[in-house]
Amino acid sequence: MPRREAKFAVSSSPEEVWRFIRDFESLCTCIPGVERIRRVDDRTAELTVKEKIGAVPLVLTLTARIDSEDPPHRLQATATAKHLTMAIEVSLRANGAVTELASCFDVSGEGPLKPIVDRLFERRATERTAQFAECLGKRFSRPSPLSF
Amino acid sequence: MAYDFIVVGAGHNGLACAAYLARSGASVLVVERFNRVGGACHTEEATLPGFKHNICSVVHTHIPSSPVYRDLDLERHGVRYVYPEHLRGTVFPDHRSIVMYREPERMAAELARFSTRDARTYQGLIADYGEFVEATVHPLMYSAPLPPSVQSAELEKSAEGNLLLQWQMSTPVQLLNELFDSDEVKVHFLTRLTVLGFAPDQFGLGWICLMRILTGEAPICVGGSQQLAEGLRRALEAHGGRVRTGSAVRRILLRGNRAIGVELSDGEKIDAAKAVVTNVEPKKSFLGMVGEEHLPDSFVRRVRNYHARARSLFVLHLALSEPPQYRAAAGNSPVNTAFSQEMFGGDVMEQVRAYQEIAMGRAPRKEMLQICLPTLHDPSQAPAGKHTAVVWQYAPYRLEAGGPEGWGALREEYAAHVLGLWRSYAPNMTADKILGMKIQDPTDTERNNDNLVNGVDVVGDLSPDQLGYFRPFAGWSQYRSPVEGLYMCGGYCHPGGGVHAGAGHNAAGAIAEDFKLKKWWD
Repeated sequence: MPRREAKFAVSSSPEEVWRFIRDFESLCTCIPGVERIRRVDDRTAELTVKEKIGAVPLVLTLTARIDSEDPPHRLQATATAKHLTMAIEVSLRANGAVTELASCFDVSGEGPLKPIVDRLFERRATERTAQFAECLGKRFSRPSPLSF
Repeated sequence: MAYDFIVVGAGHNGLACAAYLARSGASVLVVERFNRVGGACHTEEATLPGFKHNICSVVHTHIPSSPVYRDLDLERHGVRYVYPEHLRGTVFPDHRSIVMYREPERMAAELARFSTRDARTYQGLIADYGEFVEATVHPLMYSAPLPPSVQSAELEKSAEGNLLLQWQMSTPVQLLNELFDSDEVKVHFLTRLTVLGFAPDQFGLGWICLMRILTGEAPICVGGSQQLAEGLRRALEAHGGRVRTGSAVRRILLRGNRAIGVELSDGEKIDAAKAVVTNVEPKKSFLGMVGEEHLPDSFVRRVRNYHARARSLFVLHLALSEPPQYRAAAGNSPVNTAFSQEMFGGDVMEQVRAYQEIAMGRAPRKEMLQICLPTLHDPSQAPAGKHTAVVWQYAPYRLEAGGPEGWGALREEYAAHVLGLWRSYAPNMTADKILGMKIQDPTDTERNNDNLVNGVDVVGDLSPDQLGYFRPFAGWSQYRSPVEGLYMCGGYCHPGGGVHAGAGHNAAGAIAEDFKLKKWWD
C-alpha cells in the first residue's frame, strides 16, 4: 500500500487550522486537482478530482467521510473511489506560536486498476503533498516543512 | 516424490513462476524436455569454440526494470546487463540513417535531420503521452490483463482519452501517417513494431505503436541470454525448488477434473499436491498433454483456433573476425555501434508488402533485415577481438513451394542472398570475415523451442484477438484453465511472447491467490 507522511508547521493556532480543515469547501481549495465538491452532510462529501498524466486526465469521483475526530487535535477520514481507498489521518499540535500539522495518506488501489493506481500515487504523492502544504501556507502563513 | 507444484517447461516464464512459488514456501519441481533450461533464452557455441550465439532472444528490454528482477534478486544470482549507448540504427537504401537515442532531445535532433515538423511532433508526443506510457506499461504488463471495458471507461472521460482510444483502433501505418511526414521517420518507428512481430497494417495496434515510439531500451544480458535462465534457476533453487532437465512430460494426470501430476515419457509419474503449471504452448499442453476428451468443447475450439501465422525469421548466426562498417556511418557514425542495425527499405509500404509476401509463402527478396552484434557491448560472448552477429530476415514458415520442408532446398541460396543484401550496406562483410556460420531457418526455430510454433518467435501471433484480455483465449486470460489445478504461465498468456517474465510473474500471483500462499512480493 503506497503511503505518504508529511509534517509541517503553520503560524496559526490549532483551533484556526482545525476550522479550516474541518470545512470541506475550504479544505478542498488546498487539495490539488479538486474540480467539484458536494457536501452530503457534516461528515461526508463527494469530490471530483482530476489528475493529469501528461495530456491524459484521470478523473476520480471520491466519497470522503470523516470516521473519527478529536477537535482540534486529530481527524481520521476515508476517501473511496471506484478503484481506490485512501485512509487519511491528520493531527495538529501546538508548538509555541505555530501549529505542527502531521498528515498520513495510505492509498490502496483496488480491483484491476490497482497496479496503475499504486504506481501513480507513488509518482505523484510527494509533489501533491508539497502543493497541499504550500497552499496551507498561503492560507495561514508560509509553512516550514518538517519532513516528508 | 510429490511436490506442491509441478511446472512443465523451464523457459524463463516457467522458472520465474516456479521461483515465486518456491519463495512462498511451496515445494516446486520444474520439468524440462531439453537438457538445458531457458527456452528462448538459449546461448550456445553454434559456430566455433568460444563464440557464444544467442539462438533466439538477444535483448531483454523489460527485465532489468521489472519486478521480477527486483523480487527474485536476480542481480545477486548473477544476472547482469549492459546497455549500448546507442539503441538502434535504421539504415535506408540511400545510406542515410536514423539512430535511436534514449534522451528525447537527442532523438528529436536526429529526427529533425529528416523533418523538423516530425521532430516537433515527437517532442509533443513525449510531453503529452510519455509519462502516461511510462506510468502504465509496466503495471499493465506485470498484472493480469484488464477487461477492455475498464480501460475504455477511464479514457472515455476526456477528449484526450478518446483520442487515445481512436489511435488504439488504428493500424500502425495509419497512425504513423497521421503523425509524421517523413518516410524515413515512419519506417524507423514502424520497424519498432514489426521487429516484435506486430503486423504493420493490422487494425487495433495503434496504442502499441505509440508505446514503441515513446519508449526504448536494449539491455544485453552479460554472457548471453542463457544467463538470465541460469539466474532464474539459481533463484528457484535457493528457495528449495528443483529442476529436472531431459525429462519430457507425456501427460498431465487428472483425477476427475483436477490436475494431480505429470507422467514423463519414460512412464514415471510425479504427483502435484496443489497444481500443475504449464509453460508449454496451448495446443501441446491441452490437446496433447491433457487430451481434448477431458476439456469442454468450447475450450477445445479456442485452443484449436490459437494461431501462429505471422512472420517468422530466417536467422544467420555468424562468427566474425571484425565488426561491420556501414556505409551509413560516414554520415552518422553511431550507426556502427548501435545495439542493432535495421534495414527495411525506404518507405513503410515495403514492410507492408513483405508481410503480404510472407502470408503468401514467399521469402522476401528485398531486405527486411535486423543485425545485432552483442559482442560490441559484451565482449565476453566471443574470443578477444572477435565478434558474433545475429542476422534476422523476415520470412515465412510455410513456403509457397514445398511448405516448411521447402526450406531444405532454399536455405543455402537464401542465406547467400541475405548476406548479399547485408553486404550492400556493410561492404566489409566479405566471406573472409565470416569465420563460421550457422543457418537457422523457421523450421529450425520451431525445432529449437516447443513454444515457437511455425517459427513465430513470440509464442503465437500478437494480434488484437490474441492480446491482453483475449490472450490466449477469451474467458481464460487470468492464467487459470477449465481443469482445476492446471494453470498457464507461458508467453501465450498476457503480456505475450518476448523475454520479460510477465506471464510467469502474473501466473504466480493467480496461483498464490487460489492457494492462499504468502504473496511476499506484493
